[in-house]
Amino acid sequence: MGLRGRNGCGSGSGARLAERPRNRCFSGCCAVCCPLLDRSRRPGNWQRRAVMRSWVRPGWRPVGRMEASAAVCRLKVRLVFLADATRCVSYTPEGALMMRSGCGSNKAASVVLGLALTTCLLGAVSFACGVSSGSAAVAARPQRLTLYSAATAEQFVNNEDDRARGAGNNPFGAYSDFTSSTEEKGGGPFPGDQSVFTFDLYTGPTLKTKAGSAVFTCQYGFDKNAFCDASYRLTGGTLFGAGAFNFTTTMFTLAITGGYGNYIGMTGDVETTPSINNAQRLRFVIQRAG
Amino acid sequence: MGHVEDPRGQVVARTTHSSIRARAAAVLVLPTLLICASTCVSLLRPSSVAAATSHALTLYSVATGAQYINNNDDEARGDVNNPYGTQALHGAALAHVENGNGPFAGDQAIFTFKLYGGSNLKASAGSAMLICQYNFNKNAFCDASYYLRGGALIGGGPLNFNAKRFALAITGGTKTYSRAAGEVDVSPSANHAQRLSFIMSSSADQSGDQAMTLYSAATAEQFVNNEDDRARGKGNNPFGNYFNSTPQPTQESVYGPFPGDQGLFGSVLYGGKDANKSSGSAVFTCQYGFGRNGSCDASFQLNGGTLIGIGAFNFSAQNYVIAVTGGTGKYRGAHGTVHVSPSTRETPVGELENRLVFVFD
Repeated sequence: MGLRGRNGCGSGSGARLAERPRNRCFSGCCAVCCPLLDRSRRPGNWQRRAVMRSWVRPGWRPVGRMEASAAVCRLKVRLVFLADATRCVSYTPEGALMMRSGCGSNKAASVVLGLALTTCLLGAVSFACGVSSGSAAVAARPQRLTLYSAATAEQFVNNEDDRARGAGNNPFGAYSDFTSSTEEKGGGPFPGDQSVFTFDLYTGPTLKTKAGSAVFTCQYGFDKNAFCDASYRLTGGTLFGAGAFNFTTTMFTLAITGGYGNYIGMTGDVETTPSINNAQRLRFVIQRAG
Repeated sequence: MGHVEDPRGQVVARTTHSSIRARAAAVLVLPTLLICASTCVSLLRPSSVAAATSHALTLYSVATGAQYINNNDDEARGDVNNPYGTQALHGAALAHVENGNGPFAGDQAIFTFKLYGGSNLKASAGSAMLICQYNFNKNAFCDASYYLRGGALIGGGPLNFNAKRFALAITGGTKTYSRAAGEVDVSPSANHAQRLSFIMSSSADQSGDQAMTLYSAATAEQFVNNEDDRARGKGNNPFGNYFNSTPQPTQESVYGPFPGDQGLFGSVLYGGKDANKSSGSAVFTCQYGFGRNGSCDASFQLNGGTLIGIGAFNFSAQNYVIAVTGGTGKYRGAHGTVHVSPSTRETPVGELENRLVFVFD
């Protein structure tokens, strides 16, 4: 990833760095990087040209705002302090941090400082790419969503007549023999059975404001454990979940593995707990896959 | 004083220096700035970047139980709506003889495992369950769940039951694994165990592909009519009360598919400019819910890897979307969507019924 303007990084101005007017910050550029870049064409300032060369590449975009980052500001102060100590830097009239071009015998120190500044700037830009741009910023932060579900329909599939020991090939080696379960009454569901559940989703525990619907398709394994594929149809998109849990429990967690619409690429989990009115409380914690 | 101020009050460097002091300063500055740089890069990076870091985990599994579901009596041709263009495949109902030749499409198998930290199978690391639905040629699509300390890893994918090695996509997880994405490679180990190598990262090979378009031609279909098995489940479930008092129609050929029925659809994929380049195959494993809505696990076996997806849509629909939730090989950690729409494209290999546009996140 690095500096590449992925996920809309630097959408603040949309202008290419090379196109912006000299000595003017394009929108969203910070107090650290902008002066450095604005002055980059000044003769002798090889360090800044190096930054420019590493920055303006095909497919790259200008960075977004960085001033929001206190860490970056602290970084700037620290750099200035260290740079002052070498006597090789100064501020421009616009307040930009500058490296003296003719630092004479201090060339080694200048090189070191220039490389370090470049590296730090790259790191800061990388951070800015993550926090500033719309979708990327959303991607980095978990979103929390709480809904309530009430079951509306269920279909159970009793595959009792179909259960049999499989003598066919499988890649799982030896396993201890299981006696097939056939007495469904009271003891089921048994391995191989299936069920389909539908739910209405609500925004609150009073179940008044509808938020969507959900469907669970479950296949039972042993000891009343089942693996369920879940789909949650919400306004703006659908979230998909999957996971296994025991059907005697009242609380379980499913993995969120993806979605449609606004939820493309979302991952996370959803914790289901009992609620009032025979409903379940669903707590989603989701974020876009990295 | 190491500096002077200009009339604006800004700091200006002094013009004379000794080389000794400069070298000393360089020595001082170098490690400090390197620390600064590394801290800057590592701490200020967004979490999404950090999440892309590769993690590896090796476990060993031993099967503890298996259950086979022979749906022989339920296998039937589905004459009802589906968006896969399988009408040409309709014919006489399949007459499978299970013994010796199975498993057949529509059958199921369930496996449970104990997980261990080492190949000597001494240190317990959790448990696992695979629930598999067979499709064509003894291939199956399996949903996998691995229960470990700190959460569960969820995955799935196609596997051939004659294979000793296979890979499943890790599509997510719970708790500490809630952002998991990657794959697990399964291979034989000593003591009738399997070695599970988890790789938790996105494939670097995939980064160049942001979209691709393929066309599909249906090759196989199997409908599983679970009519004789439908019953009210009086057993436990965590979903509170529910009601299903409305009498359900039972005539499969008119009103079906019904909840609990299943459909399996196989197709070959073509790509390239003229859609005449064989690009792999796809299998949809669908479970029907109410109102002809189905939930389908999709697997696309392509050159370089497998893509895994899930979709929920009405089977009367012509256009639908599959969410890509993961993959293996080149597509490890993939996310995105597949937009499926009808196609009437004619090629030397025949008519291609569906157009599939893959868009990766």
